[in-house]
Amino acid sequence: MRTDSQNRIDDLIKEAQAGDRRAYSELVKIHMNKIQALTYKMTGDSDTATDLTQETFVAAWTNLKTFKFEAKFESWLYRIAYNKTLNSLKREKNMVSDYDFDQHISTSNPETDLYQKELKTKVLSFMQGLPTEQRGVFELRFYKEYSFAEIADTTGKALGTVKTLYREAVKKLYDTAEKQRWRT
Amino acid sequence: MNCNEVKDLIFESFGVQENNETLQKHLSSCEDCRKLYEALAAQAQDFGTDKNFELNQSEQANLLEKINADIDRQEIDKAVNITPAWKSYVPMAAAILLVLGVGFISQLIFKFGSGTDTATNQNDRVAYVGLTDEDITEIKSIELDEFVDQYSSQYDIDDEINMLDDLSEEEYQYLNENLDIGEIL
Ligand SMILES: [Zn+2]
Repeated sequence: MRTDSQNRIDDLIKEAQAGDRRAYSELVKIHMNKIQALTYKMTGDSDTATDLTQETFVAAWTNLKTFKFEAKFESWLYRIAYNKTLNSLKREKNMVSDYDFDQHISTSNPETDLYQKELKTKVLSFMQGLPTEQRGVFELRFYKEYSFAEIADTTGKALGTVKTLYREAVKKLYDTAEKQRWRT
Repeated sequence: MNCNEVKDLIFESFGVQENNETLQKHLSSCEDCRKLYEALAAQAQDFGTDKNFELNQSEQANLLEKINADIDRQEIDKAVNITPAWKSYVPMAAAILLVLGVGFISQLIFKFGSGTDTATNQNDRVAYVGLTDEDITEIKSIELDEFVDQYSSQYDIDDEINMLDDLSEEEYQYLNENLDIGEIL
């Protein structure tokens, strides 16, 4: 069943495909945070993530006419963002990485800040510890709540591979958590 | 389902609602699997949601602005490239400058000019390629694409078109007849 918001998104896409920049800005606003959350967790760095989100939406505009409404627009964007992120990670593979997950958290509640900071650090350090492709699968399954079939489609991997990658990521998560439990 | 199959299913459904009846049945009778299931459910809580990774309002506005600026630039490039005749002068001028240097373009400008002898004195002529002396020095050290990008970004679409309108038919003809851009590049 199609929802109103899906219909509205389809309308915006059609307008944007006809060259309407304001409609495209609306689409960007609607999807920006989901893309940013993906690139952020994939790269572990908020600035790099913002650059990738920017590139994703520019590339999406350039290629908008190739979007044929066969997939969800969202998935189409994820695919662009995912590929851009993988390429960027490949390019930066040789750079020394120190996981500095410093955050400019601007809420006024110190308790929320601390919780938010701990959560981010936990998630980002876990995800950075995964091989990049496993990281992508984890992102799409856990955070985007995609089915394995949708993930296979988005990443261009076989269904079985995607399942295995997710299982392994979660096993790793479980082992890490268990180790930490024994330590504390 | 045996324990291994159940465990695989538990891993696969981490963070996802799993209403598999066989699974639930197994969990109610197998402590080992139930422990794994519960431990992972607790972990899933700690992993938050995408909401924890969103941009704040001002970051969002900022990013939207950057995206729009990039698209503007791209649209200008496209407008310059698909316009067949004299509007393609802009990247061409950039190319000539890069390849042949300032001396040549000065001569060229002088030929079009109305009397004074150097490019820098010909303010209106210099203006239509949008270059100052500093620009000229600067572009010698950068790539063509980058220059065209940078150059395009300095103008609104309207400005750029007005500026190009300043180029007379005669001037365009001259460039077209006397320069084979393919050969130069
Ligand atoms: Zn069991």
